[in-house]
Amino acid sequence: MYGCDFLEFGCTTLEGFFFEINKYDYRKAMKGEMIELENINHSFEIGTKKHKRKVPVLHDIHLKVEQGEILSIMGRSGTGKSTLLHLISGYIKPQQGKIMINDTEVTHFTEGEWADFRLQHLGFVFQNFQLIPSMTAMQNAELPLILHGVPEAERKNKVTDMMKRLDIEKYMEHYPSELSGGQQQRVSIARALMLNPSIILADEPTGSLDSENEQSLLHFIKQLNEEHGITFLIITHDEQVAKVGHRTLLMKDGRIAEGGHAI
Amino acid sequence: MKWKDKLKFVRQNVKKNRMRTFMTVLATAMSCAFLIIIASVGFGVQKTVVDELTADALVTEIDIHSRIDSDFGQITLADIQYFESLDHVKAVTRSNFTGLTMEDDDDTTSDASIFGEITAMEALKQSGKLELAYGKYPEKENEVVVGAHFSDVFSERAFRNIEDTQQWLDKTINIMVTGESTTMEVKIVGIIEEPKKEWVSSEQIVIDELLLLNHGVSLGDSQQYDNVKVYMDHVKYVEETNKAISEAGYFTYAVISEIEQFSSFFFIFQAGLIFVGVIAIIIASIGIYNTMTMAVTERIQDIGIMKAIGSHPSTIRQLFLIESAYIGFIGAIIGTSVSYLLSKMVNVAMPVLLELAIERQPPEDFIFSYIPLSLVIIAVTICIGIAIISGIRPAMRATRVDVLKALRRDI
Ligand SMILES: Nc1ncnc2c1ncn2[C@@H]1O[C@H](COP(=O)(O)OP(=O)(O)O)[C@@H](O)[C@H]1O
Ligand SMILES: [Mg+2]
Repeated sequence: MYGCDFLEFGCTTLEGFFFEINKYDYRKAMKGEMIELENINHSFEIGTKKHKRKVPVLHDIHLKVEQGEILSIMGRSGTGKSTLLHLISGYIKPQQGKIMINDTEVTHFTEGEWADFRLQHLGFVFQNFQLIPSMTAMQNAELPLILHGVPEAERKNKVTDMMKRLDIEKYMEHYPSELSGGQQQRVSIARALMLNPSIILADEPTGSLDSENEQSLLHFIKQLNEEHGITFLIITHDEQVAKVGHRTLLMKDGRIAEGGHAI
Repeated sequence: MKWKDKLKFVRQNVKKNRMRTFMTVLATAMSCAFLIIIASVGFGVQKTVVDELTADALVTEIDIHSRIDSDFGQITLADIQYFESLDHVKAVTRSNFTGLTMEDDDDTTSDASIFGEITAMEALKQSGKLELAYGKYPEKENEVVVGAHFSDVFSERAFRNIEDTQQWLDKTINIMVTGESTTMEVKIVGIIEEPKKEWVSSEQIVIDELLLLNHGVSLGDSQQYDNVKVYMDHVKYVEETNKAISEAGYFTYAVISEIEQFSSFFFIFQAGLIFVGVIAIIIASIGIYNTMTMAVTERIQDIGIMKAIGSHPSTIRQLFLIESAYIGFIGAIIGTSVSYLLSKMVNVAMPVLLELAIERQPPEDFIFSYIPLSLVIIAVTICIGIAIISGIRPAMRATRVDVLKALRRDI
């Protein structure tokens, strides 16, 4: 069924390519709102049970991200960039406001609903890669497919193809500790792409990479975006990295200072 | 996530800490084996001692004296048929006693007078009460058995010697009921075991009532029986049947009623064994709980990553439950195999030890430890069940792992 994987260059006709895309998500070939945050306020509670204190982190966040957009998020440390991404990932629950992703209201999702939604629609790239140390590169990349119940033979094909594409097929049997930072990040990208997500959320994805690996990662992000219309949210403190984005969001003290409106 | 993948996943996880898994499996196996062995001794003793004892004619016997009415009415054929119709009745024996005269073929000596027991032979055979030392059970109506001291009938004093009686085996003799004139030819085919009480003399000849019937000989009122006994197929039915017959209007007596705690004794015995076994299982379950808790703690980061990319909390829970069930299963398998071996060894060693200790040979084919299939199934089920129960809390903890804390917020 995946004979013409949307990430494969091997697709012969453009028609076939779009046909495959449509099967995953017709929105990939269309423009429209991919992520929409409305009036998000968020604060953390700190201190002991007796002496609780609220620390407001995000204020009046209104944000729209279009389908196929690369959004760079910049700002000083501690301004709430990660918190924003965590809300979109469902790792923390919004206390106020509304979140729409891919035309689905996720504001009141249960943990289980979030899990299914994440698996099917979102891809994650972390600064520290977050690979499971006791699993090989192959097994780490395979994980979303296993969770999704994809049969073994098909899994092997997909992972092998993806790893070839990322130029790490030689390291399939390596454990994360036996890989360089750049290689580990490729494995985590392979894992993020396995189930053809419509959005990839990346928090400082180049933070642990050398400049060579950084460049190839940025190149790859552009390629995925152009060829497959994947929407990216990339947090970075590096101006050079931010340039990969179509738009840059600047955050200051929990507010969006610049770039809050779609271009 | 497919079941096949879940199992693969669990197997891989279990291997991560081989030593700890091994120790937990060992503890589980030991308690499973302990449970099985302990119960098997209970079953073994029950099987050889109790089942034999309870099947014995002595304890399954209900003695029926007479009807409870003004003149102590004797038991008739109709009453016998009523007893036979009751559930779990194995046999109803009845006999009348009469004097017999034995004719000497060659007229060399005078006719001997012997004690005759006229009985329903088929019922007597079924009751298990008739135990032969030599010969076989009568099959035809003219075949009879005699007491161990039958030969004393022909001597002045009582020798009580079964060997003397042996010469009468397979002999054909002519007898008649004292006071009647019909001569009946009978063949002695068996000799009854010597009575357990040494002072009791057993000189009687046991004759099937059908023989008399077919010869047209009657003993006064032949519809009445003197010595009526009901035998149950298991001791557990004796009490209630005894009560039922008694309530139907008969004087009855059952030895077993004297041993009041008989049934509760075994209940207590088995309950005690089960209690000890359960303690062992609880100890194993603490081990499994500990192991699973450590496994969860150890794998918090893995769990966080899995949740972060979209594994459902129920999947996480299942993976841990399968893991503890897996430990329980492997433990149960090893435990069962070990207990089979131990059981075999105990059965070989125990008679030898007993002989050394009490200087007496234990009864033949005495089973000390017996493992029925049902015991294995129950023990394995308990083991796996307890393992799963022990894993519930750690598994729930795993599902509640906070993604961001687990990833140490370095997303
Ligand atoms: N779980 C938490 N509990 C309390 N305060 C938190 C928690 N997570 C984040 N914060 C606070 O929220 C603010 C924003 O954090 P974060 O979103 O990580 O910033 P950024 O990613 O922009 O550096 C920080 O001041 C941080 O201390
Ligand atoms: Mg951050």
